[in-house]
Amino acid sequence: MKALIIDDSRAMRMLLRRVVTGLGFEVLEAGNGQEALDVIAAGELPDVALIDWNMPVMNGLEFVSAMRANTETRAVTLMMVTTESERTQIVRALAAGAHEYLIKPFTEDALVSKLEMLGLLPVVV
Amino acid sequence: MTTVSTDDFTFVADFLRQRSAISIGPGKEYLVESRLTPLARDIGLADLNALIGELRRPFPDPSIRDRVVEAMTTNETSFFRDQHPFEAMRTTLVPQVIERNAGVRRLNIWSAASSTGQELYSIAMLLDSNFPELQNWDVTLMGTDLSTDVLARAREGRFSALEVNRGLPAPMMVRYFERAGAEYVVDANLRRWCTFKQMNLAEAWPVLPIFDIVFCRNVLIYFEIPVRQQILDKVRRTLTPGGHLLLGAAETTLGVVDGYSPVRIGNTVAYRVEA
Amino acid sequence: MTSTIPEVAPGDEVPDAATLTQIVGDVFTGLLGTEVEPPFVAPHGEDILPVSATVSVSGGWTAQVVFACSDSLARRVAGDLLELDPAAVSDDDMRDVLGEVANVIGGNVKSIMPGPSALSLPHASLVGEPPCPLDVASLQLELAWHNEPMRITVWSPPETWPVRTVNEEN
Repeated sequence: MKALIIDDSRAMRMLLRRVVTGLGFEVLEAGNGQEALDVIAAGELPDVALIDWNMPVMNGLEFVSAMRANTETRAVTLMMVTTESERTQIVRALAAGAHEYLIKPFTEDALVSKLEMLGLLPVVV
Repeated sequence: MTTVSTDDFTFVADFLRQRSAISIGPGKEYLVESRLTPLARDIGLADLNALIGELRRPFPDPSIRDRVVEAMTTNETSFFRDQHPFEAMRTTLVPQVIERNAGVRRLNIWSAASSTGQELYSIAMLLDSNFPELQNWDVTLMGTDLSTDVLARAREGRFSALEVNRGLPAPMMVRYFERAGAEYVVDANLRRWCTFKQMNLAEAWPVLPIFDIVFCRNVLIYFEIPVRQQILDKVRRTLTPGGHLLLGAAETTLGVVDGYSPVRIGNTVAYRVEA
Repeated sequence: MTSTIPEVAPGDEVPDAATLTQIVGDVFTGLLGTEVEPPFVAPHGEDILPVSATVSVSGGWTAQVVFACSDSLARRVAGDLLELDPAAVSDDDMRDVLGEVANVIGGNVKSIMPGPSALSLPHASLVGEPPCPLDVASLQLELAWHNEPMRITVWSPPETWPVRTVNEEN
């Protein structure tokens, strides 16, 4: 399973990388939405993208819209991981096509539970 | 707070590895200290060292043993905790009740040891979003707990950002929660379905309705074995024939529960009371 | 005779201290792990703290949110997040981590104030905490984490507050 982590903060990318690597994911990184699209265009289609909202060049919402508009990338699971927490923002992101939404600050088990809910983790019986 | 010795820490780590899927390595001593020190106090022991002393006995008290495992392995309560029982509710248990009670149009569910209310509100959200027909039913969702503090919090339906992040699908969060400052409050319409009452499972019970489904998750481990069986017997008497009991994830692997038939539903086991 | 007075009643222009404390506590818990003790309130005086990051909020509410702390605290947080020895943390790493802390605190503060508002990208400084202007509404919170000081400042200038005109009858 491949996870694409998109955040302009290297520290946040490392934090997320640590958690998802521990869950068995292979990790790709990008510092903004455009870089993320470039990574995908270079041939690396992830299973899930963890997406910050506020980033330079192309923000997370724009990235979500771009992913959903393209038939080749429509099926990628999209989870916002952001400090934007107003209900209007969450509604906007879900309406743009994001599948899940994790508000910063979050705990590790919150991220794990969201990935589990999305069916991205092996089932523990 | 007592610092755990290397020797004691290794002992606790080995103990946990044997009894659960959890392995903790060096660097996590603070986890042992922060989670077990309050537990030692709760049990009435002098300190963490005394608690570890209890574990080191040739035949440690099973309830102390189990509480240590629970304190070290489980996360705090969350919405839709462990997911699978709620899946079972959605796919099988609730549809069964709707069919069985189609005449009387009544559904009663009990969350025993409801704590701060996440479990009961999860049940309410699940019913509201998956079973619109229940809007015309007599639905009772009852949560009980020993602690009046947590009951007060549960009735308010207020949760922090950290709590609301855990286990709750984003579309449900948007649909059923309002912001109140830095916190999130459960929608009033949903709260109206839910009642919270004080109750001690180990003492005399008040008169209870007959339930279709009972959640009794991650609480039996707090009791001595004979008391656990007494509680399970009393729960069985509150369940309608054909009704189901749901236990906690670790408890579900215990196998046989006297008086109930285990039924596998998806990735969980429910305990059915035979007609 | 008419006069213009700010729409917002005193105390509304910035969040209250208890809420801000909860936000900062949650941020530290989230970034550094659930078992970390959250920052506790600790007055530590007038000294300007050496490193900081600022985010701006604009729109329904206009304000600056500043996170400032000691060099040790920043290094320690960066070291934890980047899995580095604190001494090995670079200036860029410091700016990145300070910026992210300010980002998360600022974003959460924004969400409890009148909206909708936009959050800027963070701007970090390793040459000291920016001064808080006079004649603004402000909240300053002094906290400590592992005995290292931090200060969170939220300030909002009155010229950005919505105004209403009032007819004053004699």
